[in-house]
Amino acid sequence: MKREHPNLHPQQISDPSTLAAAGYSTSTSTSAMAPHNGKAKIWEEGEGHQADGGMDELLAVLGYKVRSSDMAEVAQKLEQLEEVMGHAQEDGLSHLASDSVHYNPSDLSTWLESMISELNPNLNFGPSADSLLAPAESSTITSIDFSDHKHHQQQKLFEESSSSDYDLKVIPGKAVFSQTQIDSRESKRLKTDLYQTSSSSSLSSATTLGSFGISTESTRPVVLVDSQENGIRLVHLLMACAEAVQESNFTLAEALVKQIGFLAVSQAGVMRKVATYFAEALARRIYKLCPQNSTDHSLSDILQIHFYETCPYLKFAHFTANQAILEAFEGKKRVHVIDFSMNQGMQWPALMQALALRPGGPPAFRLTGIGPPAHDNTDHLQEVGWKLAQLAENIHVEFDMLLALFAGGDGYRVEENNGCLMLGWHTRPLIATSAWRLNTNQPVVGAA
Amino acid sequence: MAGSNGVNLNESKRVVPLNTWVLISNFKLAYNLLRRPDGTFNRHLAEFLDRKVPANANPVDGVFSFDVIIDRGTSLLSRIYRRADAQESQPNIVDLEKPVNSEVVPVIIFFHGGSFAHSSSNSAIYDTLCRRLVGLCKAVVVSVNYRRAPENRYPCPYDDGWTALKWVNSRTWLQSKKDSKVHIYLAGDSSGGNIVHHVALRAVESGIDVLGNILLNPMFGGQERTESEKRLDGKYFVTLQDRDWYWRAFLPEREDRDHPACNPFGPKGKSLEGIKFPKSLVVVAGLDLVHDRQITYAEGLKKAGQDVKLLYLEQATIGFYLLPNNNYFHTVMDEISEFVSPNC
Repeated sequence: MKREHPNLHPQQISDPSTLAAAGYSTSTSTSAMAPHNGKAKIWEEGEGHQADGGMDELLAVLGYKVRSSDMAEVAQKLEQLEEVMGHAQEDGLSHLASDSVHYNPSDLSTWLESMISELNPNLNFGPSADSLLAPAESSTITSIDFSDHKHHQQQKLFEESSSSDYDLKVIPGKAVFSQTQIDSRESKRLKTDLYQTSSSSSLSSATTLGSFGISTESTRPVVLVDSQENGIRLVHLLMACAEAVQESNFTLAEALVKQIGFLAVSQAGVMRKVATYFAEALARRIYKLCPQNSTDHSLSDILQIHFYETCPYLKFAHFTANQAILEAFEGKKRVHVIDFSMNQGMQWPALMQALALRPGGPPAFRLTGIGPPAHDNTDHLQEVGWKLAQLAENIHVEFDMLLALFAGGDGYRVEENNGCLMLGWHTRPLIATSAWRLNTNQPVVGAA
Repeated sequence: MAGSNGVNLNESKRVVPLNTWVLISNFKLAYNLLRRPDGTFNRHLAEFLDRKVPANANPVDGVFSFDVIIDRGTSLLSRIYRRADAQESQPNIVDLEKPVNSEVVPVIIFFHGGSFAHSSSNSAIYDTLCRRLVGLCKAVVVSVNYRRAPENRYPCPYDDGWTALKWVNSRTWLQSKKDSKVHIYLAGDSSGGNIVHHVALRAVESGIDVLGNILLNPMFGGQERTESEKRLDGKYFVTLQDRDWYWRAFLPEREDRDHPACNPFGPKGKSLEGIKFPKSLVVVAGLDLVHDRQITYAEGLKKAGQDVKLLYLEQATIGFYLLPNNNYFHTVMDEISEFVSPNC
């Protein structure tokens, strides 16, 4: 059963009822008309195909924003672009593609204009064209070197990409659609439901193969992973358990942590260790097995040091801060740093080394460290100072150390006044200390 | 150079609605930028220009979708489209793979087009098409995101199609209630149509039941130029030059276009006589420059005693099924829905 193709007459059909009879839906818009020549067959867009802003609805669904009223103009630009591309050498086309900046491809009109301008900069689209060509906007815009275009004012060289993988630079922001956000509460609820019914699939909420700015209220991109593999299940269980703990859903968390325990031992090697440690940590949270407030601070100090060495985050922050400090200290002969939260002083060895390596020699370096008193009344700050002093001696940096114990609180301020550090509450001085030079091997603290 | 001639542009403009013309011309020009003369492909730019949509577990017009990782080794994803129950507004995660609840539910494994190099399952044009198929055919659609050329040549897409077929066939939740079997149809346009044929072949050889093949403007070729290829070269969005490029990108390096992947009933092809091949619906657009080859394909099936229906749409161009603004679109949709309907 094949429907016969209606026999269209090659002249303009202006009577909508004829069109309707022929199986075409008509619309009142005339913008979709083909060029007015006697041979045009008219295919009208259906009614209701114009959405907000007069956008062509059919194209909008496919990802292209073109006003119905602009359709003919866009068609014209396509023809223009084709012509201009036809004149480019074959090689030139693909180099154009890699070396030019591409704007929002959904905005067909603008994209076409920018492509045409790339190939033929002399074509004037009006004021907007200049901004497209503005070099500040893009790192490389090259045009093809046409030797046959006599009116080509500038001869730009066409860049050879050294590697064929050198591709476009995308301008983020307006040029690219934003990712659709998953309703995160929604996805959490889903995860919980999933585990309670212990199905064999697990959810990983992620934007998957790409995204597109759809204006629906909520899009739920979902990827299912076949989690027959225990390794995957383990990871998902750990995540779900951590989430449950965070939400204080301890019944669920407890159920999950038991499963995790089983799965963890089914693994081998590293996965087993990591999973077991995580499971243990989660269990401690769930069963509230917190270690007593230990008076032994040395353990936590050691942990701090290890953490500092292992994870780059703190180190990096210190690195950046030290850079700023070094810049501020440029050219100065005596410098003073006040550290208001001296823990282990992990930031300062690096700074001191950098100062030692300064061309022209290191400045005299004074460090004032302020930290909370230790619970066990040991003077751990002294130890820190001692180590730093030793380091300073080894790298030949003239070093002063001043340490102050400060329990913290509102309204307290610390001031330096001509080498003398004052701790005050608002403007009232409470403790004043003065700096002592290190000529023996002990940093000295004097307090009044 | 074909396609850059002013006369040709006007011709293609006359036979399709203006917005269709804009859509397909835009693809044509964008694709020109992506193919490099040395056979490499600007994948980065291709992905940037491709308008994509995410899967959406919230039903839109009664259809929801979600992505599944079918094979982690090859990163093979597929997007699954299902009808939402009347009641549920937001399927729960466990509802995504809940058993289909009809006596017979067709499951259409869909292979998107793109000449083996372009597009993905999440391309807006194909996401839209798959959603339509769900509503029209009351089917579940599985859109396979197969590996593309030139990075992945023959037989990668066929392998991926085969993997997907096995996966679909083994999902208990896709089984129709009537016989506890999955009622599988293969469908595809352009290169997807080509993949349909070859995956169906593999299915026959290994005993998985495929109930029918749907080929929309399937991509076939051959070493010699056919009459339609010569006559229509460059006239309706497509040139022989670009066709050749895509075959070179897909076929094994030293092969020509008579390779059976490209030309299944050509000099190096083999007859399907005596083979229990699925029934086929072959849709041919009269203004597609390779329509000769598509007709030859249908005839090849017929000669081998296979059940084939050829739907020849005289004035249709490539991509006519992407927009519902022409009669051919509706004709084909009706045919497809009848083809997979359980009453057939």
